[in-house]
Amino acid sequence: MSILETALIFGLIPLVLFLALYVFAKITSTDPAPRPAPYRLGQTWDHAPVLWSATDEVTPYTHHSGAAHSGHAELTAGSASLIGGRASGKW
Amino acid sequence: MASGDVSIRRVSEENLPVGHVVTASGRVSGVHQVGTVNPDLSPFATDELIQLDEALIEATRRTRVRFNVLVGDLGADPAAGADAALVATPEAEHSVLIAVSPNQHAIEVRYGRGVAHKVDDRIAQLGITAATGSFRDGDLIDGLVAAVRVMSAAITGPSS
Repeated sequence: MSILETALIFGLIPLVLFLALYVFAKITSTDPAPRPAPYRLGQTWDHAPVLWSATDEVTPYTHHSGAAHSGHAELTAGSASLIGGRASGKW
Repeated sequence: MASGDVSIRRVSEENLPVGHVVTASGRVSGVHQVGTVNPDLSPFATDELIQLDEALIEATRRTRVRFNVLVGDLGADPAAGADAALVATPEAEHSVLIAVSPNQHAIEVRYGRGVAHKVDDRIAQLGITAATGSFRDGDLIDGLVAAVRVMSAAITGPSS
């Protein structure tokens, strides 16, 4: 076996195989769920409303409003009777 | 969605996107096509969300008042939208709600009647002032974190 044959069989063929696998993987793989672009103020907000709260924290009032019955009472009472005060701002 | 409410709405099955169904419990179950942007994912970085989460936890612990943050469209009249949104938040009567309507460039603070002895309009205004500085720079989460921290510090006062 000449040096050229050795290089072809043990060098070029594995190299071609690896390249083929790499190209195949690149073509077929897609990010399953790309994240939405990071939001900056000034862009239009077209996402669903988000509500954040410290859900694991217990406050002295947790058991009062935690029950469905109480929540229902709040809903029927309307927002005006719930509000203690307000402030508004623009930027 | 006009008032940015988070209450349960009745969904009609015909208007749902492809691959979505209403389950027996009323929940909408939907598929997400591989490779496309998932609209259910938050457009905020994980470290930003952790920062906000920690600010909310600390504020709630220190003040014993629940802090809620709402980001969404509050409608043409953000003040009325925020009033309506407070009802749907957890522990509404004993909580502070910071509502931001990015499209209207409006921030609204509401607090429940039950915590009116701890929170007043001056503290609510402090939160707005703290938030709008970062909002002008385009940093939504930074502004919210600042508002939560300033308001909780004002509620507890310098002695505690």
